[in-house]
Amino acid sequence: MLELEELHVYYGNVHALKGVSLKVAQGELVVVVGANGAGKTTLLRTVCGVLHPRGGRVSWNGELISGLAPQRIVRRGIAASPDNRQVFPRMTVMENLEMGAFSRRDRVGIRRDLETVYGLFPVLRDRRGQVAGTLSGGEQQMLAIGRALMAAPKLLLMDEPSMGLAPRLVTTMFETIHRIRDRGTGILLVEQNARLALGIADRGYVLETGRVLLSGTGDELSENHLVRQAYLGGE
Amino acid sequence: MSLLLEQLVNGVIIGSVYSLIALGFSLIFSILEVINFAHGSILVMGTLIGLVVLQRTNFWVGLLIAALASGLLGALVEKAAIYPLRLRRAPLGAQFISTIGAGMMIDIAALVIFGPKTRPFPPSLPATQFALGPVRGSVVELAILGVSLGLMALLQVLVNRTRFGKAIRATVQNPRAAAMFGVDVDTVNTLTFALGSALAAVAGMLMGVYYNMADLGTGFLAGMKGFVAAVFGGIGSIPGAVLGGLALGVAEDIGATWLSSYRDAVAFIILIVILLVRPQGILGHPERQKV
Ligand SMILES: Nc1ncnc2c1ncn2[C@@H]1O[C@H](COP(=O)(O)OP(=O)(O)OP(=O)(O)O)[C@@H](O)[C@H]1O
Ligand SMILES: [Mg+2]
Repeated sequence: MLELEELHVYYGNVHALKGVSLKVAQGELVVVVGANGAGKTTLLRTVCGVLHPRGGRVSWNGELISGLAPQRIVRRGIAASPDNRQVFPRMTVMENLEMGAFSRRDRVGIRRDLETVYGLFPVLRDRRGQVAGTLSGGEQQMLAIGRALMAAPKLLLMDEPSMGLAPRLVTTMFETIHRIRDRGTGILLVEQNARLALGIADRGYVLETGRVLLSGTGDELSENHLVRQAYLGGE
Repeated sequence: MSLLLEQLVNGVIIGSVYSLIALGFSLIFSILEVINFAHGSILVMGTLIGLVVLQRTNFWVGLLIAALASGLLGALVEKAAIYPLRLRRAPLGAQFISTIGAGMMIDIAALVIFGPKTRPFPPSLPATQFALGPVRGSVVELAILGVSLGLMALLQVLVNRTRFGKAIRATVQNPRAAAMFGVDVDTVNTLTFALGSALAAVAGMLMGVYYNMADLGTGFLAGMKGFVAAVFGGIGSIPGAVLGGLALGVAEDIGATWLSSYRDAVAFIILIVILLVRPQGILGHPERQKV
């Protein structure tokens, strides 16, 4: 289980997270929604070790992980599909997926997970020899998720996977995310697209300027009038 | 052998050595975005150490020890002169100046240990001449070409096929993402610096057997020429470094026909022209380098 307690994260003097507490149980799909600049990306960067909190703690299965370097955190079973995808642009699709498994040594498991990723995103198999920088935005998004899955994570962090996708593909993407969860991988997903994200969430949080405003099950939040007004554009 | 053919062959031989030096510059630059101005000094120190070993053993042992010594020295320079600055997010300009300082310290150390005088390289490879069609050559020249081209091929395999090579490429293309998937970026930086430095020492030893001597001055000049070759080919590009070195070697040999005693000026004329006409180099990207 992932647990964030009273996290305070800064960029220089900018106080980006102001005491955020949040939990993701094993195999759970938790969604964090929030507007531009709410701190969603900062939250994920802190979990995967790219940023270190100035206050509070991140623990994973009871062990303190805030302060560990990213290359250690991935070995503990947390992998991310980061903001703006960040695929390796001059590596092929196949090499990007291999890089996802860089922290692993079990060849058999890696082969099996490669097949799983190709099963989830068949287009990646067709493009496996193509250089990632020449893929479309949607394909790069799939590659970023596939690369993270190649690390065989117990918890997958996803930063706005619907960003830049054609509307038709967004629905498919959320279905795929749901399938990944059903296979047993816990997911912490941050999204601006609140309606669809809360629709597949077990639980959710609303983040506003660095603070948790509301939390509840996906359905509770979808029904909440504050959420409807602010994020679902209605009533 | 016709003059032009001879110039071409000579140019390619010495040019392949420049390519090795340029490869070191480019490897280090592509990963740290810093031009390592200690490169020539690291080359000299490795060569002088290799020469001492060579005098007691043979050329190949000397070559190996030179590469190891410079590799270690390179790792030390990265850890002492670059890593602490990166940790404090110092601007690239400060890191660059720090490599100049490191280079001076190495030069002074070399001066203290080995003295200022030019050291002769004992004849350590057979001087046997042979003819291959219209081309005449010696075993020394063949060894130089073989070692340079062999190392370039090895480097290509290393970068594209091995786990360490993939870690280098991932770090070049996106260090943060590389770390997120388990690459220890600090170690990659250090080892890449060491690798580039080891290549420089090999180049220094090859120049030593070619010109039958080594001293601080020739080492400095070799470093500068490697730099020109790297810029010529497009700094950060591996094929660019190879091409840049070969082109510089040939240009020097042909240029020497008219400039005779100003042979070494050819490199700097090329540098100035390249920076004016095509600053990204022959194979370089205008904005980003590529490994
Ligand atoms: N590198 C940075 N340096 C300084 N401030 C930053 C940096 N990155 C983010 N911030 C600030 O931190 C706050 C949170 O940013 P963050 O990127 O986490 O928001 P977000 O919820 O992911 O937004 P978006 O929906 O636009 O992706 C914002 O006020 C932002 O301006
Ligand atoms: Mg964001």
